[in-house]
Formats: sequence, structure tokens, C-alpha cells
Amino acid sequence: MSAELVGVIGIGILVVLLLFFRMWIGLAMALVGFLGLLYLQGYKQAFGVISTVPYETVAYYPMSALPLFVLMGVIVGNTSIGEELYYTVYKWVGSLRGGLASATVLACAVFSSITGSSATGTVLMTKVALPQMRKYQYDDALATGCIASAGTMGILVPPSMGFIMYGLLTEQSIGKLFMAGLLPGILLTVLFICAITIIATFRPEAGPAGPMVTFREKVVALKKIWHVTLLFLLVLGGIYGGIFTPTEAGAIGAFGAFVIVAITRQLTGKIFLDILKESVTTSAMIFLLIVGAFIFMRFLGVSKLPFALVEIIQQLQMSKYVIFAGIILLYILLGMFLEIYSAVTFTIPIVYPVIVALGFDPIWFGVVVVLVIEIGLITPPVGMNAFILSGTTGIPLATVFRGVVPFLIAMVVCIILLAVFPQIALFLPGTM
Amino acid sequence: MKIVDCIARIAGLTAALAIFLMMLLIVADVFLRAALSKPILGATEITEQMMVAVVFLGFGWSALQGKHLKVDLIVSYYPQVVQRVIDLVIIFVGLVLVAVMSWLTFGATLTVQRLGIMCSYIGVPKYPFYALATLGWGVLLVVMASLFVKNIKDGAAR
Repeated sequence: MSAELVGVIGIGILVVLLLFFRMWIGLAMALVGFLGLLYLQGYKQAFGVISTVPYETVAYYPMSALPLFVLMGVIVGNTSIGEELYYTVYKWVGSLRGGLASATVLACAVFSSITGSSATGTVLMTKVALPQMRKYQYDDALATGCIASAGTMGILVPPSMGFIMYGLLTEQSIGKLFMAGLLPGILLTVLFICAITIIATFRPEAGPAGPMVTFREKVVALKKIWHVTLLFLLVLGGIYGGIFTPTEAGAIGAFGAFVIVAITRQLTGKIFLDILKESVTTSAMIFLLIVGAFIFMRFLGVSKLPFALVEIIQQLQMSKYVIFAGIILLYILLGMFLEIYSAVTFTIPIVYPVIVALGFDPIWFGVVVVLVIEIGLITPPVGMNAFILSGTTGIPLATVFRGVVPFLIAMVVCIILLAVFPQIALFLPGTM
Repeated sequence: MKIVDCIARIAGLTAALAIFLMMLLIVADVFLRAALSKPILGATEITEQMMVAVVFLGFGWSALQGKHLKVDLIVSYYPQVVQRVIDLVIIFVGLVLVAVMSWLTFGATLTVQRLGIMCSYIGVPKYPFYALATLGWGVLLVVMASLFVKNIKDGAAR
């Protein structure tokens, strides 16, 4: 049996283990990688990989960015920072038609700049924005659709856990990936607001205007978002200005968040312990995936499957954009079943060499991958954000899925714009 | 199972302490470097070894709270009995794998000690950190064993 065929069989077994036996994804990847190496290289090599790769993967300085950005996100998620942010944005745009939904999108976009996950924003806005929209008799589909979709921006707007994972697995600069996500994040925010405006224009009853707010009240409200502004400037300003590395930015951001919650008297002993506990369990969960992925990547490397795949694709003499469209379709399908960490770790070892061989920019592709996985978060059958919303509010899942359709269209438009104008993603990293 | 909870919790709290200290170390390093041009010597290497505590000691705690990711899409449609059997088999397979990983990491610890491998900059032996990784796998092993037993007990109770 050729090594490449063993690689294909390995991927097949992995899919079966994941889908039909619900094995922990990290352990499944480690198991298949280990057995594959055992078959291809014998026990000495396989044992060598198992005994050293987990330690070497974890005890690698750039990896420390992950738990520290997780820590920063958890601190922010455990305080009222997000809530205050929403009420400030609400004062500025809430009185417009569809304004409460637009406020939700804007608040989520800004909130995403200090957290790295999509669930945090979704949970927060479900708690804060949904009651407001229901009070003003917003259409349930619009209200839930905008929350579920806006929540996904957590993994696009830097700092993003998706970019960190992608950067670590592909050895691309996390700093450049962060910068690359900024303009697409703004573009997506604008597109989401356009979608809301169009809905509210054609169906005014779906998104009535909120209460009027005086200009003075709006200005006064701004003082409540000083912490968000400070954290954002601290983390991204520090990276962009070259004061610290993206790896160190996680620690600086987490420390800054700790200082803010301490100053605003939101830090009790219990909250402190809860924050650390959640950070440790989330980090361990992510790292089991990463360790598994690195063992699996060793196996794939030995099987030479990615190289064979690149060769086959080059021989096809197909337009690289057709292949790119195929890869995007694959990601949309995967995003329906897997969440961001799993989807990235599972596919990058196979897809990344193909993308590089086709001549696409790896940083740009990182942005596209994250965007596509965002789509998966809100599409059936397993749209994680839609599940969170439906589960916590009791609003039928079908209503949520119906509500995300206009935002889904906005996301597709964003991907098309990125494909046509790659500079949207590449301009800022190019200035670093 | 209280003892297993306790072991996982202690390991997890050690990881929690490590993540907090790691944050402080990096912040101090950045501050001293940026403000006084005097970075902490070996901060990178210390962080790397702290990561071992943060990650490996958290594995068990995370497992105990059901945080490790799996795809529930198809299996959740199987009959309850089939689901239970699948879970038992898969936990057992995982248990064997983690046992192998623990054993091999322990072997690596002894090798690193025998060869006298040191952290190149701070001059500290590396084997205690390999031992910490072994401990982390060990805690995960114990937690998985407890999950296995719990599954059998739950099945028998029904």
C-alpha cells in the first residue's frame, strides 16, 4: 500500500471516529496520527513522536498567546464592559429605524475587538440587546438573526482565536493576521447594517425606531466605553507600533482587563477564581486539539498526501479560482458541523499546502477561512450561534435560521469583495 | 469519585496559578524592556516551561467538565443503548491512547534526565517539566477511567 493511500485511509478513519463515534477531536487526531506513523515508520518513530511532540508543541513561546488571549476574553465576558458598550451604542443609533439591531451589530463589532470568540458576543447580546428589541416589538427573526450573525464577528475582528490558531498551525505572523482582519471586520459591520437598513425600509414594522436621545445624552454616554477603547488601543496599538509582539499582547491585554475590572470594582475573589478556572479549562480544550493536530500533521507529512494532492491539483490545469471555490464550499460544509477550532485544526494540514501552491496569499486566505467558518456558525444543521440563541431564549430555531438569511447574503458579498479586492485584507499587514 | 474530582481540581488550580503568573511575567518583561531597556533574562524560556503546567495540568479538569470537543451530530440520533455502548468503547480507546502517551512521556522524562538536557538560557534541567507533562497525562487518564466507570455504573442502574 502506498504511503499516500495510507494517508487517505487515515483521513477516512478520522472522519468515521469523529462523526459516527463522537470521539474527542484532539484524541481522535492523535490516535489516527499515531497508528498511521506506526504503520508507515514502525514503533520507534511513532513512539518518538508521541513522547516528544505534545511537550514540544506546548512548550513553544508563541503558543502562550492562546491561553492569554483566552484569559483576556474571559475577563471581559465576566464583567459589565459589554453591557455598557451596548447601551452607549444604543444611545447613538437606537432612535433610527432598525437602530436597535444596528446598535447590536456595532456593539458586537467593537466588543469583538477585545474578545476573541463568537459565543461571548452572542451570549452577551442575547442578554442585553434582545430584551430591548422585544420591548420595541422588533420582528423575532430580525432580532435573533442580527444577534447570531453579529456574534460571529468575534472571530474575525482582532484579537481573534481563529487567527491565532491559523497562525500557529501555518507559522504565519499572528500580528499580520490580526491586522488583516480589521478592515474586513469593518466592511462586514457596514454590510450587516446595510442589510438591517434594507429590511427596516421595506418592512418598517420589523424594526421600529427606539426612543429619541438628545445629543448631550449621546456624548455623556461615551464616557462609559473608555475601557473598551483603552483595551483596544493597548492591544492592537502595541502590536502595530512594535512595542510588543502579538504573543505578548495576550498578556498585556489580560493584565489591562484585570486592572480595568479591579478599578471598576467588579473583581471579587469568586470572580477571579471563576475567570482563571474558565481560562484553564478552555485553554486545555484548545490545546488537546492542537496537540492532536500536530501529531496528525506529522503523519500526513510522512504519508506525503498533501504533496500528492498539490501535484494532482496542478495537473488538473483548472483555474485556481475554481479550486478556491471548491475549498470554500468544503469549509462552508465543515463549518456547519464543526466549530472554529476543530474546523481549522482538522483542515489546515491538508488545505494549506494546496492554497500556497496555487499562489494565494496565506494571510488573505486566513481571513477568508475565518469568514467562511463564520457562515458555518449560523447555518443549519449545526449553527452554533443559532443554537445558543434559541437555547437561551426559547425562540424556535427555524425563526433564528430564517432571520440570519439577509446576514448570510452580506457575508457572501463580503467574501466576494475580498476575492476581488484582496487589498481589503492585505493593505494593513503590508504597512507593518 | 470524589478523589478523582479532587486530583483534577488541584491540578487545575495549579494550572490557574501558572497562567496568572505567566501573565505577570510577560507584562513585567515587556514593561522592563520598553521602559528601562532591561528585559527579564530568560523570560521566554520560563514562559515556555510555564505553558507545560498551564496546558497539561488543565487536561483533566477540562475533561471532568465535559469541555473537550466532539461532534455530536450523528450519534445523538442513535438509540440510547447504542450511544452508551459507543461512549464506553470510545472512552476505553481514548483511555488506552492516553495511557500510552503517559507512559511514553514518562520514558522521555527519564531520557531527558539521563542525557542532562537543560533549558539553554536559564540553565535549569528540563526533566521536571517533562515530568509535569507526564503528570498532566496521568490526571487525564484517571479522569477518563472515572468517566468509564461512571458510564458502566449508569448503564447498570438503568
